[in-house]
This record gives sequence, C-alpha cells and structure tokens, in this order.
Amino acid sequence: MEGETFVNSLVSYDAFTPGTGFDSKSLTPYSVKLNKFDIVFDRESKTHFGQPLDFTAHVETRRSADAEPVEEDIKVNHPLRINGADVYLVGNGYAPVVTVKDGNGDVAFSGPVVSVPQDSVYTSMMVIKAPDAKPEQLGFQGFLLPTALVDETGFGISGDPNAINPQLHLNSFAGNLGLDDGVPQNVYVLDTDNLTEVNSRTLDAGGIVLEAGQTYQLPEGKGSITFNDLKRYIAVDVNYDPSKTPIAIFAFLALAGLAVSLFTPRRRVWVKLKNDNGQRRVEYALLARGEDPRLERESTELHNIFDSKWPLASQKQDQGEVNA
Amino acid sequence: MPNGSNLAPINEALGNYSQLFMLLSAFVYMVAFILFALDLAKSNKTISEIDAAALKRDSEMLVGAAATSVSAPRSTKRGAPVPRADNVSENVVNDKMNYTEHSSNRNMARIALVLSWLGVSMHGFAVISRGVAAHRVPWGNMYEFLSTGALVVAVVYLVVLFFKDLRFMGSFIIGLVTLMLCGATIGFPTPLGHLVPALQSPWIVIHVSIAVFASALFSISFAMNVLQLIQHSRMNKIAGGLPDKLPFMRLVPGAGALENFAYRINTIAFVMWTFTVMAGAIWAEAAWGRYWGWDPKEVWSFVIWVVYAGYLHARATGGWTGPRSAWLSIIGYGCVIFNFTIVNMFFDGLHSYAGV
Repeated sequence: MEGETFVNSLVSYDAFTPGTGFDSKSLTPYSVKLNKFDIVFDRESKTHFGQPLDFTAHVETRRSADAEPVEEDIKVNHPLRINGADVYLVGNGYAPVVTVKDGNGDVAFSGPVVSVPQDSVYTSMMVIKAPDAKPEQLGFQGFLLPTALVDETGFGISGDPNAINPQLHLNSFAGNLGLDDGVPQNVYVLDTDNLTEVNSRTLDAGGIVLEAGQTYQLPEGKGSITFNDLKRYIAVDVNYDPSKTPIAIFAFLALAGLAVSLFTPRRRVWVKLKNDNGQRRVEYALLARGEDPRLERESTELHNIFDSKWPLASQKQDQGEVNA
Repeated sequence: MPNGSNLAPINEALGNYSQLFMLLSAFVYMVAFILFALDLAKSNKTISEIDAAALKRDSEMLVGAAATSVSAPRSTKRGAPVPRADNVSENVVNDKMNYTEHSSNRNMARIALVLSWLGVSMHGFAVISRGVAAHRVPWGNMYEFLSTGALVVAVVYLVVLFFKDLRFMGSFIIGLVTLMLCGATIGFPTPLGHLVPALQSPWIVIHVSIAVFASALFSISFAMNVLQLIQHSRMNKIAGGLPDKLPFMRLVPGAGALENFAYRINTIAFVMWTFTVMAGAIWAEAAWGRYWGWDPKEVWSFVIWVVYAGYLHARATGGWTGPRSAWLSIIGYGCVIFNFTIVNMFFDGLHSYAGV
C-alpha cells in the first residue's frame, strides 16, 4: 500500500513457498517502502485509449538494518534486485480507505481495504469485515468504481481506470462473520451464512453508494461507513533462486552443443594406393553420416587434389553412387 | 508530452501509409502468385523447350567430343543418376536444386519474380514504417508478428532464389505470404499503438524476432514437405503405371531432394527455436521471476520443440526418411500455427495480451 513498508521476514509474506534448504534465518534483513505508485495510461490513441503504458513503483529501500534509505524504482520488466533476491512488480489496484462505526458509535474498523481489479477500467471487488463492531459484527461487500458512471440499465460501471469520480457500491451485512471459529477465511470473500443482509439493491433500504468523503448511516442504527480516501497498492513477488546462474550457463552450453552436433559435417574417407602393373592406382571413397549433399563437392575436390599430385593417365573411373 | 509518459507520440500519418502499403503489397503478391502458378501450368512448353535446347547442345558436344581426351571432372557423371519415374531429365529439374545450364528463362516466372520483388519492397516499407511510426520494433502484437513473419518468409525465399532454383515453389510461398497478410489484416487488425508495459523490454527485440524468423523458416520447410508428399505419391502412381494427373509437378524436384532441403532448413530453424525458448525463459525471469512456469504459451513452444526434435532424431538415428518424416515436420508446423493462434486467443495465460 502506498506509505507502507515491507520488511523481509516470514510474517510479512502473504504466501511463502520455501525450498528444501530454507531456514528462517536465511532471510536477510532489508525493507522496501512504497512511496508512490504511478500508472501512465494512453490518452493519445483513439483506439487504445486508457491502455496502461507504464507502471512504476517508487520505493525506498534499505539493504540492511542500519542502512540509509535509497530511492529506487520497480517496473514490470525491471525487478528490484536486493540482497540476492528479486522483487517483481506483479499486480496493482486501488485500496479505498474506509471508517466503519458500529451500533454503539465506536469506530470498529478504520483503514485501507485492498480491492481486486476485475477489468481494464479497474472495476474492483472488495470486502470489508468489521469483527470488532458491537452489538453485531458488520460486513460489507461490493465494488469500487474509480470513475463511476451509470449505464443504460441504471447499473453503475466504471468508465476510466483513473480515479476521476470514485464511488463505492456496497451491500452491507450484520450478524456473525464466522471469524471466531478458528477456521481461516479468505480475506476477499464474505461468509454470509450467519449474516443478515441489511443493504442491498433488492431490499427496501437499497444499496450503499458512497462518494468520496461521504458517510452512510446504516439502517436500524447498526452503524455507519465513511469513504475517507483512496490509495493505490502494488502486489509484488519476491524470488530468491541461487540456481539461476548455473542454469543459464548449462542452457547456453546445451545450445552450443546442439548447433555443433547439427552443423558439423562428419566424414569418413578411405584412400587406397595400389601398384597396378607399374601404374599407381588410387581408390577413394567418402561416407557421410547421413544424406549430405556436400559430399559430392568434396569428392570432386579430392579428385582435384589427387589429380594435381598424380596426373591421370587414363580416365578409368569406376564411380559408384554416393548414397547412405 | 500528450500521453504523459516518456514514450514518443505515435505518427498516425505514417501508420496509415504502412496500412496502405500492406494492402498494395498483398495485391502485387496476388498477381505474382498467379503468374508463378501459370509458370507451373505451362510446364509442357517449358519442358519441351529445355529438352530441345539440351539435345542441341549434346549433339554439338558429340561432334567435338572425338578431339578431346580428358574431360573436366565437372561434366563427368557420377554414375548415371536414377531416372525419375516421370522421365523428367536432369536438364529440366536438378535434384540439388541448382540452376542448370539449360534452366531456360521461364518468362512467366521472370515476371512473377520481378513482381515478387516489388511486393517485397512495398511490404518491407509497410513493416518498417509501422515500426518507425510507433517508435519500436514492428512485432508487438499478433498483427505485426504475422505481417513481419510474412515479410521474412518472402525475403528468405527470394534471397535463396539467387543460389538455388526454387521457382517451382514460387506459387506456394507467395500464396502463403498472401494468406498470412490477409490473415493479419482480416483476423487480427490492430491499430497502431504503444506496447503494453509487460512488452517494454529489450528482450522483445531478441526473443520475438528470432521467434518470427524461426516460424518463417518452419513455414518454408512446411511448404517443401507438402510438395514432397504430393510428389512422392505422384511418383508412386506413375511407377505403378497410372497416368500423370499433375503434370506441372514435373518442374518440381524429386521427393528425396525436397526432403533433404527441408531437413536442412529445419535444422537451422530448430536451433533458432531452441534459442527462442531460452530467450523467452530469460525474459520471463526478468518479468515474472521464474524461468519456466508452464504457461500455455510456454508449454506449446516446448511441444513445438519436442516435435521437431523428434523429427530430427527420427531422421538421424531412426533412419526415418520419406513421407513419415514429412508428416512429422508438418505436424510440427501445425503446432506452430496452433501456438500462434489458439493459444494466443483462447487460452488464458500470461501471453494473452489485450489488443491481440
């Protein structure tokens, strides 16, 4: 998230796949702080309008615990190489900052919520869970539309990937979020088994539509939700693979070997010199590994070599066919 | 800058010229294709002319032969070559595909060649101007990949024509090129645009260009293998006493010669394809953090590699020659087409870029 820092320790990773030689002490300390994430969209082309042209994450890195922060950029084809690991820019999206107040008037949840983009105009799905809300836990699910428009059917859609007119379209739920069972839940999915829907298009209360800065009071005094701010976030993959260099070397050797094996002509040549009644008799034969059209030319060259050394007395050449 | 990034603005006017010349070159290619086909159709006339000229020259040589004692090695026959089942002489079609002394100036083929060169220059202008207009290499989407690939096929064919007599393939190759251009313009028309960020890397120059070149070479060897199969079945029928249903194939070298030539092209293309896959892996590491991820495109590139490796291996080790190896090569080319079309458009993976 813009403003957040990633520190290289096990707990910071959302998903971690170690190799067999991994030890948690192998993780060298470094940190990457996302200052700003910029996207440049194509505004010039009429046909590719809104196509992303550039993703740049402006970060501050510290390569050891007491190092000075250094400003660097991460781009799609230019990963951050830090302490032997590589940090790849893999995804991005919007994270609306919301405040949820519960039925008692206390703040139950406040902060940015990651929304997952579904298409090229960044229509993003999001789920907000407020388990600390009392007397009932609150949950919200719906969409962030960065540039909200209403289409022909009255449905809200996003018209542009930039956040020109951001709106949250949410359904709200109250009840038991199911987080106390000890069973892990998907952060992006709301388990509505023990929840009653409070706001939805199909109910009398209607769905929640929040403009920037707006607050919506939930019906029956269940609480409120405010759309405070909009941030951007990036998704990164961190990869450490010490076998990369050896693989590169061996792969290159394999390619070189392949070329040599395919293009090196292999030949066997037999030359027999005989004394035939005082005349020197030269017999020669060539064999290639398979069908090789160059064989005939080499045979002619051999003939010329022999001819220059031992000029032909007669043209008695008994030549068999050149074949495999 | 209008678009706010450090990418230079697109030159729309030049892009329109590029499109225009693409279309014009397709027309010129079509005429060249017809003329090459006519050249084959007039095979009767061509063959009789060549044979008459050869006969005349041989009789002149016999008259003067009594005076000579040592003939130059060049004209000694290395044993009599096995005559073709359709009795076409070595003068008409050289199995090593060299230009023979009697390769007449086949006028239709001549005009077709001139037109092909004209088409290639217009096509080349279209491709290069597209690259210049967008300030990048002209192979950033399927339209550009296909149109550049067609250009490479045409250029390689015309250059090889200087050294080898491949006029018999003219209609096939130029027809293939025209088809590729039509496919690009009708199937994947893409207006001129910038590259998506994932493609903005120097690797696009290396990985994709070698892929285009290798695919073009595979196209040429595919054409040869198809002709080889036709010729093979035709020769079998003639040897079995059936009438010759495809007389224009008399201007085409024997099936064995075609196969050997296709084999040589396939070896070069195979090494290039190996490099393509490797360069793709290196680029994948820079973009996604791993050399290989079993993405559909990666899988099918590997499939292509395996099929052609099998083809090379079967020929070298198993002694597979003839129609069997031709079919393997054709299956390999089918995989190339599949990889380029179905995988790009219908399989969801890291290679399905928007804007096709």
